[in-house]
Amino acid sequence: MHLLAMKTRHFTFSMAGGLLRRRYVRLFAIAFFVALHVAPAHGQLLERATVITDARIMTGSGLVIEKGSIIIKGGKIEAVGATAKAPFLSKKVAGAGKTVTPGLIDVWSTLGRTGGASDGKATSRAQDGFDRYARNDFREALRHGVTTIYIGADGGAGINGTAAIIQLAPGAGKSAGIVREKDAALCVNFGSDRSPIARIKTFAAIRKQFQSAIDYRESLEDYDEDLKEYVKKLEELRNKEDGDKKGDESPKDEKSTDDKTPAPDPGDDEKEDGDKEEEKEDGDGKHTSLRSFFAPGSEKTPLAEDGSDDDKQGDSGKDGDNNGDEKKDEDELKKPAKPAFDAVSHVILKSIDHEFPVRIEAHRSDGILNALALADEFNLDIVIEGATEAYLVADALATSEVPVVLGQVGRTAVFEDTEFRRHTTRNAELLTSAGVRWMIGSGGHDPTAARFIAFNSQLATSNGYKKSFNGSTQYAWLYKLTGDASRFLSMSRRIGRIEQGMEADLVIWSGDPGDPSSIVERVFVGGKLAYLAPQLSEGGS
Amino acid sequence: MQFVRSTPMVCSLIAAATTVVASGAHARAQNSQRAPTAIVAGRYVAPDGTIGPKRIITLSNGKIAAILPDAKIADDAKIAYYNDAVVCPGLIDVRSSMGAYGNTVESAFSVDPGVSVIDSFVPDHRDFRLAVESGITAALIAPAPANLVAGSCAVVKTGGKTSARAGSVLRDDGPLVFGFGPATWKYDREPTSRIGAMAMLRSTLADSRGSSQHPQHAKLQAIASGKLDAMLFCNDAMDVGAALRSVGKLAANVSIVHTSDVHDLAEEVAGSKAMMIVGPYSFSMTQRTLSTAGVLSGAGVDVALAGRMPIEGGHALRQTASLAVRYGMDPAKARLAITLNAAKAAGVSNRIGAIRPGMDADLVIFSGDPLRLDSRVLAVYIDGIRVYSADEQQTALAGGQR
Amino acid sequence: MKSNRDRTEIVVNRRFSIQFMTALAALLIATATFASPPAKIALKGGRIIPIVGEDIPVGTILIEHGKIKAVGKDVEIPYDAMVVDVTGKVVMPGMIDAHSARGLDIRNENLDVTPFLDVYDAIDPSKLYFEDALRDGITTIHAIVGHNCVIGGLSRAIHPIGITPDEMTQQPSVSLKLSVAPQNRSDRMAQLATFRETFRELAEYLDDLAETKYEESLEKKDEKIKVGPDEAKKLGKDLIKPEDYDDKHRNLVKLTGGQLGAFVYAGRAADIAAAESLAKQHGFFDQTTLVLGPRCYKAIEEIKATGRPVVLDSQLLYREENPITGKITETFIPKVYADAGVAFSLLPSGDTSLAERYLNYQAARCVRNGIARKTALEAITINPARAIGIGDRFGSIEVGKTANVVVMSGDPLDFSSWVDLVYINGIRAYERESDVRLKQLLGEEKPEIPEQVKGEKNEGAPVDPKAGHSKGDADKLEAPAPNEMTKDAEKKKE
Repeated sequence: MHLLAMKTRHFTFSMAGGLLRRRYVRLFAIAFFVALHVAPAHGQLLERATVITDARIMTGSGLVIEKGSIIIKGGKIEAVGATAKAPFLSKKVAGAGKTVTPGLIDVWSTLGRTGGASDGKATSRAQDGFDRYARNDFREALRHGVTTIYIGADGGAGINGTAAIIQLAPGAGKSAGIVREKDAALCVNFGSDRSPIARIKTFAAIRKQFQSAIDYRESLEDYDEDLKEYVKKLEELRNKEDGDKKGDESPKDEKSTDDKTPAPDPGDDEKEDGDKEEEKEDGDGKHTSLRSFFAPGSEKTPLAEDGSDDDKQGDSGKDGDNNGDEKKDEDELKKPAKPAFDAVSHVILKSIDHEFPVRIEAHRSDGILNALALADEFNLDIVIEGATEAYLVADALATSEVPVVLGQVGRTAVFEDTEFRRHTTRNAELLTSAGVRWMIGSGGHDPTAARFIAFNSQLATSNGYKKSFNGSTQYAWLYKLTGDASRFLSMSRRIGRIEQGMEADLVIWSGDPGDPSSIVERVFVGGKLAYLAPQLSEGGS
Repeated sequence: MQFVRSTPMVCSLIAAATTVVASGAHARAQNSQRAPTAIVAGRYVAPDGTIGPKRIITLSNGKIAAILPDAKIADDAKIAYYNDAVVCPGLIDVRSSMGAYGNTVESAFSVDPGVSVIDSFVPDHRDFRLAVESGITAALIAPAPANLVAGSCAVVKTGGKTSARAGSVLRDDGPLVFGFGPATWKYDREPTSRIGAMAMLRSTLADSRGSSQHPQHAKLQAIASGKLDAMLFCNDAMDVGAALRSVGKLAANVSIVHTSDVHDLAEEVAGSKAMMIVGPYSFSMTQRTLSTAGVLSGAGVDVALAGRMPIEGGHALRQTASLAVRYGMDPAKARLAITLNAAKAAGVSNRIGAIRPGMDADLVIFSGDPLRLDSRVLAVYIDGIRVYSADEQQTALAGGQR
Repeated sequence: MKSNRDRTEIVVNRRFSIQFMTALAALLIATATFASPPAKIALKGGRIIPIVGEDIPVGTILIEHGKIKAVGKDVEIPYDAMVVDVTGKVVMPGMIDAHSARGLDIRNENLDVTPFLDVYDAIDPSKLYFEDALRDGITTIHAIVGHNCVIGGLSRAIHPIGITPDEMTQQPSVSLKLSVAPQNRSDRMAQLATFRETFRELAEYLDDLAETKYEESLEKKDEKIKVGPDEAKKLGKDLIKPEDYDDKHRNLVKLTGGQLGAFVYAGRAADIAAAESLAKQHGFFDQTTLVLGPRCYKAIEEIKATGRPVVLDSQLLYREENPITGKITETFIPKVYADAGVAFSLLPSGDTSLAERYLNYQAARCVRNGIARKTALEAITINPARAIGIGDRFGSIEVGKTANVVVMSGDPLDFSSWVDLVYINGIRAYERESDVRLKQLLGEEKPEIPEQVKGEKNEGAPVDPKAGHSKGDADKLEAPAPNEMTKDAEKKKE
């Protein structure tokens, strides 16, 4: 899914694209109808529908319906269009003169993030750091039409955990924010703000972690094989014994002599080894190792070597019959040593298996090229975040079809010698010309900027698109934050467009959404009214 | 990394980028020359800040000759057509250090009226090219307000006859800058505190009324006798009050530079007739700060918005106006705040800031309302001469080449 | 008992031991009287606030062998009972500090996961805090360690008398301290990741232990391993005995088995859900007490839905600025809980220079902010007892409960009332008449200072009644003695 979304980097603004999309929509509509009839939710049938009438509808896929209605039911858009008719007894929202757009999506946000930066645990999850009760912030975001945010596990240089996608729907009590996607991406930071040497070290460490994840998987696979064999042999032995028992007494004697040599011992030894390795894994965290607390020095080997160590043990066990000569068969039947559990590798392996993409925050061109190299080596789906200097390596990005997510376009860092030194407001424009797919977010470091993604996208696209976008350059910014953003987050079947069957994340603007004097009057998230402009809440309409 | 440093590659990339970008231009000025005699504006920003209907703006000698609803134009007239666009007076950044070479802080004396920022002005500074691309045609450059009396501002144009310094300087004896707030308090010289600063300011102004002919005192005398404009830089609401009640009572025209929390002082400022200079606004500011401009202008205060180039980028001026509108400022007033009001604060409203006959022909052609951030700068005219065109855009990675 | 008081004094006044000799003697005489408590005590004539049940305007409490034998208006006093006339005074159950690290030598281990620690090893009986606790009417302290850890140590309920931690213990192994809000590090994500990792590791440990036990059992029977590890884990599960768990995991096993309480700290509203799901997921939800930071009140609906006991931070007022208007709103936090009908416990402030150090002051603030008197009093007695899990024995004056009783000179919510007598387990643990240090503080009695000490050390010391605390015991005190006390004392003198 994700692959599909990302690899389609050529934007089709032509009519053909529109047709294609419409066909796709039609297919989807059919599918939805089938689904609806197969499993009708009875609760929904009783619920009153909400209808937004006679509004200008910008569907988020580039299409504009000058006058049409939207019917919301069961949290979804039931119908949309000029001919959509309101069901009996539905709640009406007068939309004449207003514009309705899909809820805006911030594809790189820190809205609702509590506390400081993480100390970089790959096992961290962004949703754990999300404060559902940061009500003022959410209200402010909703006030500017933002309904969905992607929050990364931010932190220092290194692998920082997995990201989450959150819908700013009203939650229990006074909270807001429903986690829509738990592990949306693996967040990696190349530490662009650090010195060259530190950046090299960071990259080497990250590369090593990916490598050791692969080694870990191999050792797990080896273990599984060995285990199977071991269990199989045990079974054979058991069957044989059963057979022997029915036979004569002689095997019993053998057994008793065997028992004197402590048969389970090797197994026990290994057990202990296994134990140690477990603790070692604990010691990966800063202070978590209890074993190291009790007996410092018991942990030494880095993770990467665990697998190979196990292999050696296994091999030596097979090769050298160090357990005496009495009974070779029994000695060979040795319980395989389980590799120590490696939580970090488990997370990384998911990204290697394309379960989710890897988001790499890199600002300098060297970091971006390193990211491309990493993606090549481990066959990763990557996205470059920040990408301040992306325009300098645009053709490399275009060739490898790696998309980038830009942060604040209006960043100011003119005389500073930082990773933003070469920042330009025309990054998006240059990337477009080079054929690089880019997205726009509020930037992963300023929680308050999420509310202004519309402005940010306008700044990026005002120069980024000189060609017409479905007849107008004006709404490229909107497409970037709705239809394109949902596609980018692999959520295009649920949000980002005003189409039948999509979730009802809708924003009603008093005028044109690109005009700063327009205000957001109502926001629906999942069909529920999540925001009502204070001007309206008194009188109502 | 090697790749990054290879300049030819970068250049070719830029060239490629430019070609693609330029070929897709949206509103094309047909028959345009560098110095047209008339500009056909699809819409234009009227002197009251609203967006007016189609007009023909005739130019002569670098000035606006007339604004005609529909007139016969001589056949030989060189006309630039912008039928789908909005013609706006050149934007003015009223709080800038553009083109100032080096540090503009004079740290030896806390009262330094003799300082003139024009002495650090470099006409061909790279900032100006960026400013023009962003639609900014003039800027007030101020000395850093780290002194009680920090010196005189200058008002310059960002293009046109820039190669000659005199040509681009509108005014080198702009408002005198007074600093209020912690920035002016130093541990190693007076004043060291708020009350100390105010006492020093009072005695300084009183002293200047004497017979001294010292040039240091001439400007202060002019302030004290209401003959010179003053620009008062403040840090918090308390400073604004102090500024209004001291220099604010004396100087000819007063503008107060302050960004955030003066909501409670809106009435006092309105009563004083002082111009408030607000901004720049960024995405990380609080709602209260962002609503300052709206609250002040709603209370009847004249507000000018500042972009603070080059500390902020060229986008900052329009971004500030856009955010101010989103947070309650009237759009017409916001357009005035980045044009005519800014010109008033700089004391050059007789020359620039509005599309009126007799004013300098400093015009920016936007693809839409200048307040909309998705509007693009299509062309820029300074003194009737086109200094920038998106179609013929020459290169240049805004920040990248620094 | 006697030696405990003795030792406390000596340690506390190490540098002034001579000057306090007389004081000590007086105290010894006082303590001598309760060294062997009379079997029966009758507190007669006081106003009784039993917390559970209606107040008794004039009544008698009969204590027998450390337990409350009878309470009421007309209690028959046995002939052999020692009668204490408390006419005109107020009798209430001893107050309970639901969460304290103040009597500890070191509050935290510098590790994230420390379930193997027991607060037993950190309790420092010589801390002046315990003496102060008696003076303030606190008879039970839930001593808890590891506030900065992800998983802290084992806590216990203690009373402020006794020379060793053993003597002080009322209830060992009360609960484990857990924190879903980051403490010594700044990040919630890492905090929860550590929990996940700890409990995953626990599960793995238990599996491996089961496997080992299975193998051992076979070894004992001289049999060979017959099944693979997966099977062995299942077979070995029932073979594990409680003593088989190692130190690192024992308490976690108890926790997940529901044999141990959990004090879970949540710092923000968003932490409530995390705490709840953590507790439910790992089987200790029914033993969980929520320790809540000031901002948690925003999740009051979620908190109420959990139905778990709640311990509130000592900061009772929360200020918040509206980002648009700049208007500051103040929320009196306990009121939110009281209005929602959530039973809460109050905590005293750790800062001894503030009035918030007195639990009855905290309760009085609640009443002042519109909370019912009964609710406020419950929040410092029975609620904390229930939160700790000792509500069946402590926290109220009821027949059969342990005789932890405080006699006050006036109403507990009147701040001019003194704690006159404190009974712990029916033993008279404190009497104001014999409180030498208090007398010195109030200037009623002046310590004798030998000349040489006067000359060598701080000269103002003997005159300043605070000096004995603040200078001599700097290492023992968290903060200087309360100024209010001194001021009061001065007023009284006048």
